[in-house]
Amino acid sequence: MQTPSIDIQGLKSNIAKDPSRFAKNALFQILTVAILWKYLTLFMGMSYDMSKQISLNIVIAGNSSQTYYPLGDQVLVIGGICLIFFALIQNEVKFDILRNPRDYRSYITTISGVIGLAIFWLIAENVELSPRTQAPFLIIGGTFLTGFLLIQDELGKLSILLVQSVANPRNSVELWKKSWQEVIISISAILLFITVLYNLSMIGAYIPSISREQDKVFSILLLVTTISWLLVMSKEADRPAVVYKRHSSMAFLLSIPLILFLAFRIMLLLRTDPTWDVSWDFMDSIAGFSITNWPNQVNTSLGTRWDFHWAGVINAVRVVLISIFLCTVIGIIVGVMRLSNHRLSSLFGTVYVEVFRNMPLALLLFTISITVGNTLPVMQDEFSIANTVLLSNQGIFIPSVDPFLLFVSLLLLALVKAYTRYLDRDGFDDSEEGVRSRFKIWVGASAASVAILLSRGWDVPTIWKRIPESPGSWVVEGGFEITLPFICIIAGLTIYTSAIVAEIVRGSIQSLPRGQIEAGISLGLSPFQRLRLVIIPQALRSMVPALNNQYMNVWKNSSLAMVVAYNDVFYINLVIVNKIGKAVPTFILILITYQIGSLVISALMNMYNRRVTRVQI
Amino acid sequence: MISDMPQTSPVMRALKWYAGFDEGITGKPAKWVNDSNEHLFSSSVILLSLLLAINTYFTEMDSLYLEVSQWKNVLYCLITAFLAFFAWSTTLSVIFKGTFTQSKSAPILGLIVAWAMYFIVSGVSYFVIVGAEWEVIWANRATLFLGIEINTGVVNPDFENQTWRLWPSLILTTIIICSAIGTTSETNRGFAVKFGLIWAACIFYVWYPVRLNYNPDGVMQNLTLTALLGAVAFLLSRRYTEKSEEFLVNKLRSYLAVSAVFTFFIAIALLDPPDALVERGYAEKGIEPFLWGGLYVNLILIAASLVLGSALSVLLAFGRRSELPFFSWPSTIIIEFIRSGPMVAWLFIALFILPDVIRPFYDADVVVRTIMTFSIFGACYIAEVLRGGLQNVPRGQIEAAVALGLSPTQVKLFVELPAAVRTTLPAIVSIFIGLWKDTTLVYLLGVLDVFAISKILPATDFQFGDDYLEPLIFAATFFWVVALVLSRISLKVEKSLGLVKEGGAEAT
Repeated sequence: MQTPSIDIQGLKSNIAKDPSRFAKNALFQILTVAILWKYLTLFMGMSYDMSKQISLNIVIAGNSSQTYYPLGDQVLVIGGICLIFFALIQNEVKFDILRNPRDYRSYITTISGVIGLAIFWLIAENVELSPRTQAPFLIIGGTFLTGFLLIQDELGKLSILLVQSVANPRNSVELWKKSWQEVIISISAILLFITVLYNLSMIGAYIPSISREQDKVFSILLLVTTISWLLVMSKEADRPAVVYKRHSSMAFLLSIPLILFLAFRIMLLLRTDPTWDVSWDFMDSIAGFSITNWPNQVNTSLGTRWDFHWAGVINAVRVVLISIFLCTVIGIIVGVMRLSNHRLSSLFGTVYVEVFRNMPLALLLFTISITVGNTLPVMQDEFSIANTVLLSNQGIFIPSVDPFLLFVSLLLLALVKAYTRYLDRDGFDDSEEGVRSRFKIWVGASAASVAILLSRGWDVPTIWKRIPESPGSWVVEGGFEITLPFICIIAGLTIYTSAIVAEIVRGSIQSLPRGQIEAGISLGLSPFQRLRLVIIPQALRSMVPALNNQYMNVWKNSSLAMVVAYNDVFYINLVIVNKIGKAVPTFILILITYQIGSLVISALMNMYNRRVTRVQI
Repeated sequence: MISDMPQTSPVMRALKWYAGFDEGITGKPAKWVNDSNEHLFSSSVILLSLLLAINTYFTEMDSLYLEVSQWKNVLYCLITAFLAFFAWSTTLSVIFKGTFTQSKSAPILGLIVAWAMYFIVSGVSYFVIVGAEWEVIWANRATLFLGIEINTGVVNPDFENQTWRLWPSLILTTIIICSAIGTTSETNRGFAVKFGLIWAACIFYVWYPVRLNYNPDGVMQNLTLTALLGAVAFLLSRRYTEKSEEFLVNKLRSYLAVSAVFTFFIAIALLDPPDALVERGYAEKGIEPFLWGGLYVNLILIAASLVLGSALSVLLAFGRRSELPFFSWPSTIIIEFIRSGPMVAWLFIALFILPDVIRPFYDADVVVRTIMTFSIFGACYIAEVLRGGLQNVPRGQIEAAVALGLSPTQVKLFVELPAAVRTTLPAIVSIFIGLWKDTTLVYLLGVLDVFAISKILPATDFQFGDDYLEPLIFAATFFWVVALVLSRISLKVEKSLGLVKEGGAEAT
């Protein structure tokens, strides 16, 4: 049992030595206590009011009041949070507990915490407690009791004593006689709590503040506990194990008002505020606005919100895939250009990187969208390149082919690639005939796939005016539309990210050992061969983690598509929130979507990283 | 014959230099070029390109049809002619000197880049010099910096001029920055040149008489006063640095940092005094944060996020690395949760959901909530970087500190943190630059920062309807300048800390 003692002699000598420093210290301490008191009363007061509100159940015409939570549920929620923190602070539950479960002393405290929560729950469920006084006392007092017992740190000894008394009752009296002093404070705290809880009304008649102003009572108790334990802890600085537990318990004690406030506030909001209605039923109803997407057009009048969400996800994934591919290619080109001996191209690379790395993405996207929108010809001009590709400020129309044929031709190319890899299974054939035969295979395969693609003809977009007299009734038939926002978001993301990728490429190439490049030169490789066979394979090792980060940034930056009015998942969900105001479930959905995307990108890049770093350097 | 030619003739040396320069761009010349006839090739290339460039000059001059002032036309045509000279000389030297016989890639690369430069740079300079109408910027020069609320006081005499809220902050900031520069190894002349240029640019911007809709005298006086005070602060701190030992200079730097934090709070208090003071009559009613606008709201956002984010990131980084699961689990959960979403999502969550949670005890304005969001977001990213740096602190340092009797807090603050910040400074600065660029996103919440204003400027006046690009380019230039300055400062700090390794891959 620790009691704080005040050293009067030492205090006097301290004051005599340096009065100004003592005054400064004292002022600082008084200020801290004042701020602490303000914080405690503020949050405890709000928690107390909310606790009274959610314990009260006024039944009108058979319906419970809206904000009523049965006391058992309250105990489970808040007690559960306290139990989690309890277990974290005790730090006993480690993963090797299953190896020797017989050593109960190591994890007895956590078990006692669970048992304590069970007892609280049983009390709450079965005993009739008055909702305005005893229910808040149970919750707030129980939380404070948990913190108090934690910082006393006697629960371990108490639990072991109890278990030993139960195991061999004959020796229990001696055991208790020996060590009653160590556990007396915790036992008395528990007993005091239970007594006051049951007799709250009686005690409240004598000391009204206990039942009416519980927030102030508990604030005072918290303050006293904190200060006394701070005084003790400052003398205990040489026992690290105890110090750690006390620090965590002190942090827990100080954050009790905040935890209570957040728990009660969120419990209240879940019942009263419609934006906090966490259920995704509204996603099954009809969305009622229009978006553009491909391949599966959502029906404006029949599509549910889940369909729209899924269409948004597909839109975002398309943009991200194309942007990642393009930005890597451009980034590698610019990065290598920046490092070349050719003065002009290194200047060009430097200017490109310096200009686009420091520009905000929103600004870049907006500038691109406005410029593209204003420089492309209007529909009226009927501007087309060789009568096949139609350019207008409402979209670019290219000739479309049958998607099935597209799929078949890509499948053919994939099969040819697999076939060439099978041919190279014993090693890359670098001889003249090998290169020539591979060249022939690929030329033949490309010609065949193009032939398949165009076998059924292609659909050239044609533009005509439906009603010649009225303005603006242009109609484009056939063809495949690439909308302007799509082009803008891809251009913006690509330009922005390629500058960063160029820097990453430059950094990783410069960190290569110079000997590798000199060996490549001495072997007689041309610069391009050096790049392809020596530099890039080794630079990939250091590039891949940084590129992983940048690809996740591309995925997250695609949420800026709302700047160019591109219908990606964020934009669609934002429109849903603006329409029906169910903010919390919609944003949970958005966060989950972005987290899944980041995890997928990270997993793929980690697989590639393992492939690239297979050889230990 | 070659020994007869005077080697030191300036023309010959110029031609030799040109030949070397050309080789860097177009590659090695073919075999029919040797030392004796090299100057013939170079001089013929130069003469022909000059003729073609002069031809381009006159062609461009004839094709300009816009009624702009003469000097702008001349400037644009000169630039185009110079670029044409460069492009043509590259082409001709490739043809005459036959560099394509020696290597395939160099001449192609040189040609592509030279002609790309011709088209891109002449197009950009056409836009900047001739095609653009910068009137929209001159007419709204105050709005872009001050936001719409304060700007009405500046240009409209019926409204109160509230720029007095911003001048003290500017003066204090200038004094602090100049004193900080004085403690570094910047030379007097270097500082004078840069500072003088900045001051001259500001005076020109405020004074330029085209479309002047306010009285610039007061502004110019205040700017000059600021410049004088900044120069005095620089000289004083330079004197102090030269005379004193390093620990005193470090003390001065820490005092400057603390006073910077105070300046920030003074700036906020001037703009929007707390209600307690307004009710008692000590201060006038301020501008509510939602109405702040222009460039200074971006600066306030990034300054607040910098300070708060750094503090929070230290807590999160140490929390995540702690052995106690009570600190490590919540820190890990917070960091991973916040890093999973894009910035826009968190901004909208701060707009829609956060007020419900904190309204009982603090009715926060949009700008305050944005500052909170930026701080937490930046803190999580910096905490990740800092965690990597903390892992690389040599274990012996920590053990030595513990053996010396330092408490755990002192070990963390005085041993681990400085070492970690030293090694991870480039990554942290790049995160800050990213955060600075993200402050433009506040327009989505309705705050009219410089990006939002530059978007709506074309719609404010009938004559500016076409000039949609000029304000955007102005805003982009300003963001670009600040980001560049930040990265140059970080390079300088890295050099002074001895951290520069040529070719470290930065985060962004």
